[in-house]
Amino acid sequence: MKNQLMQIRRKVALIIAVTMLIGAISFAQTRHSEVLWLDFDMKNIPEPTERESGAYDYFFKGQLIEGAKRRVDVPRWLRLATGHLKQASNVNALDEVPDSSWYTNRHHIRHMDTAALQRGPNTGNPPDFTSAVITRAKTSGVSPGMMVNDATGQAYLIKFDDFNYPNLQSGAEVISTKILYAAGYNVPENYVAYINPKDVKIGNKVEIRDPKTGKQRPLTQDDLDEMLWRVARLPDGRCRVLASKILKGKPKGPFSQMGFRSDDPNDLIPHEDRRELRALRVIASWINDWDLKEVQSLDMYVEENGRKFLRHYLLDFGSSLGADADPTDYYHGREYGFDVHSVTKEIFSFGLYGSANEKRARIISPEIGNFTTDDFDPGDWKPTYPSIMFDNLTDIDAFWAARVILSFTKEELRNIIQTAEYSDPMANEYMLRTLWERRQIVAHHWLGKTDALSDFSVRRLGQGVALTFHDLMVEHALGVIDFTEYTYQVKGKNYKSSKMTVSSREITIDRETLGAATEHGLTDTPVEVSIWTHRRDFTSEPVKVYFNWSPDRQQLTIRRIDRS
Amino acid sequence: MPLRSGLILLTVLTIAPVYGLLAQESLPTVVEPSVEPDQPERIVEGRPPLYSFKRNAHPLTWLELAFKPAFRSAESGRFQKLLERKPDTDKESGIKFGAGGVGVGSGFGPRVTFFNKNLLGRGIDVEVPLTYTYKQYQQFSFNGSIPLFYPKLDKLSFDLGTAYISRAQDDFFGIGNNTPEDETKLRTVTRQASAGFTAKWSERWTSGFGVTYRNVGVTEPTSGTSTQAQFSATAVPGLYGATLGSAGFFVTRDTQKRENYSFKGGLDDFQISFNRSVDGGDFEYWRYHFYSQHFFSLNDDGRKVLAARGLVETNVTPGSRLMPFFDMPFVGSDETLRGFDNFRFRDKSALALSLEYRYRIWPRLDWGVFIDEGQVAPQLGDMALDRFHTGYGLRLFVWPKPDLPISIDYGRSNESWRLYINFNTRF
Repeated sequence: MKNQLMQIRRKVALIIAVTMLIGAISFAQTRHSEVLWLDFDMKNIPEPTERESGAYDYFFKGQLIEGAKRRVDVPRWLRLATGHLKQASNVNALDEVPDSSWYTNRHHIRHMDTAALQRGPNTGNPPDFTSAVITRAKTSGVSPGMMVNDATGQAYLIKFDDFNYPNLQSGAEVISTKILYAAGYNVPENYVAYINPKDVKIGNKVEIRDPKTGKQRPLTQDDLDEMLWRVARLPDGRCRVLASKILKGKPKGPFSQMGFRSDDPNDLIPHEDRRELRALRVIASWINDWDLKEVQSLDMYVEENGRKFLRHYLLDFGSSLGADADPTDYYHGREYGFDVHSVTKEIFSFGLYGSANEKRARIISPEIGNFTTDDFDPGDWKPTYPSIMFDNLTDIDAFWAARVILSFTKEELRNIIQTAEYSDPMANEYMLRTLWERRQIVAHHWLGKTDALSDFSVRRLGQGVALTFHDLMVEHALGVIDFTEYTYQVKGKNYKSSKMTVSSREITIDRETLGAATEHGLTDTPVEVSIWTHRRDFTSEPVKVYFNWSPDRQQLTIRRIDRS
Repeated sequence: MPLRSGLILLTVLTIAPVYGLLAQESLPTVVEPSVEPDQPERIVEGRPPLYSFKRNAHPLTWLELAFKPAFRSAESGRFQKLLERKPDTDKESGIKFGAGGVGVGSGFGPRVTFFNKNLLGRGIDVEVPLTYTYKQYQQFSFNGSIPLFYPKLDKLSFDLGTAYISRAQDDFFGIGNNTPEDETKLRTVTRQASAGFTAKWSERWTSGFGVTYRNVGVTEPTSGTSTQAQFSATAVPGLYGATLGSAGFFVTRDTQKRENYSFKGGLDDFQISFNRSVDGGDFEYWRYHFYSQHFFSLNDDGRKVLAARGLVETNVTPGSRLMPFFDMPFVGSDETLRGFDNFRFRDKSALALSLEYRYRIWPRLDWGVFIDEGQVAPQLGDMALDRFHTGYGLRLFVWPKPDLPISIDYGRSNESWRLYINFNTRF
């Protein structure tokens, strides 16, 4: 009996060991150790096939199956227990995301001026709908839409605002487009445009699904009139629309929120391990862009500089900033489309628990919808469906996203909001105030979990070196900051200084310490400075900053920043 | 046992890597770029090793793949087209395809209905539903409704009907409130014809009068122990069938509504009928039947509902006359006493009561807890509080449409547990 028990234990231990080994091997993706600012995933590739995506992907596979897999993922539980979460794979030595076909560093690295922020992804003027031809139409559903060629023949997808909520969805989509573009994502050119129904013609072979029979049939003028009867109009009879310019290239379907695209050899990093995708959860929480299903993305097979490859876009931001076809429901951002936790609470409380989907949203105005800071908890913010990509978000990813968000000043946000062309000036002011307050809440939440130190620089100071940095919590006045100190320790290959504490955001390393750390003056030996941030009742994990000299000892360069 | 475990492990270890390798994402050759940037480097050197293997070897991935064709079909394939196809309500005649059952314990199966809503241009409504379930229950019917004063008044109609009903393997436990759990089975084959008048007095009130001729044959079931082998005809009246004629009257008050994903209102139905053998047999009885169900919203939006229903039926046989077992009321079904076998208790009188508390747990999803009480007796006067059988359980309602509930009930009792699935449940 005892032998049998021993055998069983041995087998269990063996299985656990093998599982851990496989887990360890499968995540051992070698990362570039240099400061790389372009992850060149834009090599010529054969044309991929179009990828399908639907409820199967985001609900059955994404929520149920992948959710279940995570619950039985032993290596993940071990990582959680030991506090060694898997960090993003596509960050450079400075803990930044390099440019790629997914992401371009814009406002937080390469400052954009007012004109660039207001222009966003737009490359031209708004469409000219003085003569417009419908090429495709969708009359069913809550928000009608159609594909239209403008006077120049350029194709646009146009979406209308609801009769009762003029400017709501189009305004939200324009603002979110520009924020996400400035944050670095690929987004379509979305314009506020005006179209007079009298100027619209129905093109050849435009079909719709008959609402009564469910069968396809040609679109008629009566259908069009009925459709436009439900949409918002200006006093002069024109309709304000959101015109989304058709993206260049061939559409190849949405990108998966997990794994790779099998027919894209440029796609080497599992999508759930891409920082910009993980951190999208934080940026989306800021603007409450809750509809982030796979189908809200699109891979385009583009040709640029003689190379053909996939560029990855985010789409459809009409369900953000308190908007939807009508003001967004209260639960969006607070619960999943099917939230197992809320359902369980409802069941066991016999319906006494009031889940978010039971609550009514506070409508601010027809143009704003319900964009508020009410009960806003960035840590608990949820998109419509759970996604491994967002679940993998670590505090360090969120810190990166918080820095992106903090790069927008109040004035810059005001300029972006102006492009929504709200009719009520109070709407501009309210939108700005709410965006600003949410920015502060998001930043306070995520920066409070990390050191919050950023923008490191080193310079010579007498015979020694000064390492300076910014403390984003202090500089952006986020929360209680009356007590903030920094403890640092200098390390070399065979040296470790004693820990010292300063209250200024400059650390001075004297000649003796520096000499000991660099092993008698070898220039290529990086010096490591670990810094702990102390605030009231909180001490951060250390951020490690590595710097060294150029061979001629003239320049000091930060080589690496390590927060993991 | 160790050998079997070893074989399973060996199989998994053999199949999983092969499957993993086959399913590994193929990497097409990268065509050399014609224009290279200054820094054509990657942040990683390649895909993480064993990533695809690990995912593809996971048993949950196999489960996912098994469901994939069905999901894809429901989303964009043939099944979706079928789901999206809307019935043409304006269509006066044609064929409807659907699914349905043939009463308690029949299971469900395909149903084809031939119909004409305006035969001969006189508003005559004719319907021929043909149903065949996976448990081999069958019902082939003809129903006709002729408005008497068409087109001026269509609220009074003359109704005609014929039906062939084969119930392949109904349960039978004997007659009485304390019959043992020894289950036998029987098959009944009914051929019937009916005629009558129905008057729809208002949106709520309907009443009618009709006569029915029925020939019921009882035979061997398609599976299980035959009732006829276990019971005698003296203990079970009608064990070898009967031919009956009936005349009856009913009145119904229906204020039920299913809207906005909630039940509202109620239904009360009273029936009285006189039944007797038409072939010189011993059967003769008066039937009194009352059924009522009501829904009480506990808040304005119908998220919390108290539902109650009750069934009382008694059959009175004059003198030494008898009543065939197959016409006796019973408790033990999703409509009477859940958690017990179907047709568990039957006698000439029956009483069944249900109380449910339903509450919304998610948009389009309701949860319910229920308690059912039921008993049977030769006469209503024989019923007593300590004779009740109790079933209890949980319900889940899924509302694919605002007026279409699908319910899944889990019922328990001191005897067994049962699962009931109802498409378009009426309670």
